[in-house]
Amino acid sequence: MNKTGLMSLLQSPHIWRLGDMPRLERSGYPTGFEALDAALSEHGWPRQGLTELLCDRTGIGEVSVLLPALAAISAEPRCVAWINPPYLPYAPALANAGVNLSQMLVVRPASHKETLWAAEQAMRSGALGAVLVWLDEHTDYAALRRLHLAADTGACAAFAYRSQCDGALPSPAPLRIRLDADLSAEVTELCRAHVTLLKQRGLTSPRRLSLYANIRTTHSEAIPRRVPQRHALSLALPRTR
Amino acid sequence: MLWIALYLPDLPLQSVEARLLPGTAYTNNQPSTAVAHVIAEGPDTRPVICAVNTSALKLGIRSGHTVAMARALTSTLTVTPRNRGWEREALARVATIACQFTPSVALDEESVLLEVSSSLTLFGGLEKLLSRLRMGMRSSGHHAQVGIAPTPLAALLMARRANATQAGMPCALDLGELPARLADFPLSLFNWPLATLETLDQLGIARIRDLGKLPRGGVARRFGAQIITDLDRALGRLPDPRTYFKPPERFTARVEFMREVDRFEGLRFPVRRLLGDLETFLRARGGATQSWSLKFEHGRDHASAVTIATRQPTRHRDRWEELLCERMARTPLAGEVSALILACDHVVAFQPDTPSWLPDQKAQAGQVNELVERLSTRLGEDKVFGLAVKQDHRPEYGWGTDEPVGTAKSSALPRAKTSRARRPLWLTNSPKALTAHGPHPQQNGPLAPITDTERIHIKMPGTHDQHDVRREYLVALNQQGEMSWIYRDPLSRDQWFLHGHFS
Repeated sequence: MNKTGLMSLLQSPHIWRLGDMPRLERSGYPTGFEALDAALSEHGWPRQGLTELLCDRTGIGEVSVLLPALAAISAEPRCVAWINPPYLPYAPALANAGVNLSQMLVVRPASHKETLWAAEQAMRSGALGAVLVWLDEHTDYAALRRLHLAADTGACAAFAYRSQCDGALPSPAPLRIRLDADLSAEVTELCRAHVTLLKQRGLTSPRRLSLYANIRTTHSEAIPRRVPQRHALSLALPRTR
Repeated sequence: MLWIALYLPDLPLQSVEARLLPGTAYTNNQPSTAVAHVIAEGPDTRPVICAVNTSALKLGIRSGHTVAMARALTSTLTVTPRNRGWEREALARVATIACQFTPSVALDEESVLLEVSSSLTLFGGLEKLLSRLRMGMRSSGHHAQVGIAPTPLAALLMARRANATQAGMPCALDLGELPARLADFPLSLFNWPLATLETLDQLGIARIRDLGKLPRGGVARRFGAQIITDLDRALGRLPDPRTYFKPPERFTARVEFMREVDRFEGLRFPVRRLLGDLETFLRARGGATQSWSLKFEHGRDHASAVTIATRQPTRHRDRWEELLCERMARTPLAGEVSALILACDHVVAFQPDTPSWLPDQKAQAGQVNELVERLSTRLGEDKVFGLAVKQDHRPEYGWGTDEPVGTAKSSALPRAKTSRARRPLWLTNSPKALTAHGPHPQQNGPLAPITDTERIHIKMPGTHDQHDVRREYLVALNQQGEMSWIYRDPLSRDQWFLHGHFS
């Protein structure tokens, strides 16, 4: 390949060069876990754009990882939309986590098509701080790209929950995270998830860390509070992409 | 005093063209004028034309011709019978448009009079006010000849003459220059009896100047006092009190189609016009509305209707139109549409937004409101809701749906009252009975308890014991690491129910 060909290839927006990565500021919403904050390029959940959370299990703390961010967003106050949640978001639990309930908006569309439409409208409107969407069915690249662009346009933090089998397919989301159950975690932990960073700007290979920490603001009376002390980041083998 | 007169010489034609549409999906703002269209009145055996459109005019058809004569000139002629009810409606519509600019609006024959001297500053001068007035009329499907003068009658005379002179809009702003400006005007501009006008003409008195030279007493004796009174009123020598038009309490408007329309796209233009009329009506009333309904008539017997409601009172046509499009995307038309009726019964006072320099919370709440409206119009009212905590110890009643977002009443709920006990983030819609193998209930494998039992026992007031809620809740973990919230009735100890997930 000659040099012009290479240059034009490097101009493609789909290619990120590691050396060109700007140091991003600490602009993200804190996740509540120091280990995860340190691993994410914005030191927290991105404030805009699409983030994919790939998870097949229910009850491993897959939504709890977002609760500190949701509490922060709803305290601003900005609105948070829950689109197509698998169950009912239980108001007392949210209130316990410090989330301002008056800023919550639950949308239960009847079909996958409506879910995508509602999510795009909500992200694009610019009125919401965060949108959580559960994509039950397979969503193709074009639809995800629309969501990502909408979240970028509307300056909205978008979190899409998808099945892990979609993890092997390409996606336009700048941040992709897989959540697995962490069986070695102590049984009293609420957030018992292994987090694997599959894709992130500046990330060369998938990175796995386990969230031992408890969410500090939650359930402080029910469970003895733990200070996150071990941020042991164990590198996992790269998965096929 | 400064009066603007709007004179609609072809009112019979305008009133029909604004309300009876061809029913094809045209997109431009004006109905097609390519077809010769005339309005006829009189007995069925010999109908006489009273108004013609431009293409009929080009063919040589004039008012006063019989329909038979016109049919001899062209083979494609649309004839509509004159409808005086529609004409009154059209005039009221124009008056409603005028009411946006001043409360002093009066109706005359085929014309509307506005007194605008007190509104000129608000609307930025006569030029701007006139252009807004014209734009409002055009979007409603009307147009008029305009005259401006310090007295209503003089303004009316000028409007009637406007077409004849072709030299721009006749206009007199000062009472002093009025006699000179009116001197040349023919007397036929007055609505005087035909016999009087003919006699005056035969006497060689054709213009206002000629009449002014005659002795007043003699003219009054010969032709009636009305003539002198009219002359004095036009020149501002006598007061000319008018009764002012009041917009009606409710809004209803109807559009009919010559041919039935089977797709909503074909209705976009007439719907837009109707909604524009509604917006004008609300502006004229100084009001806004939270809901309106659009009725589709399918032939003579069937009808269907949609009601669009907004969370805040509003009078914004584009927003209504957008909401209607979302609704029509969800529920298609029930059949071919022959007529549309837009009705709005509830008018409340309009609360203008106070503009602010920095983006504030109110503006953001407005954006959220718009989003919620759009979502609930497309998906259904019950599909979009907010969350609230309720003071009830039964977990399934410990939450409630709320008006989506931003209402003060939910956020005012005291935080301290919420229970600090451990609660799952997901609550199942209804408790799910779990199967059990031996002592362990199963949910993707056996569940092992990891916390102590939390007892919830609520005696419902005024009921018997069997309505009591007695439950023992546990947090349990299965081998996949999934944490769930299960309970059993302490009386029947073996049956466990799944009630939530610790996501």
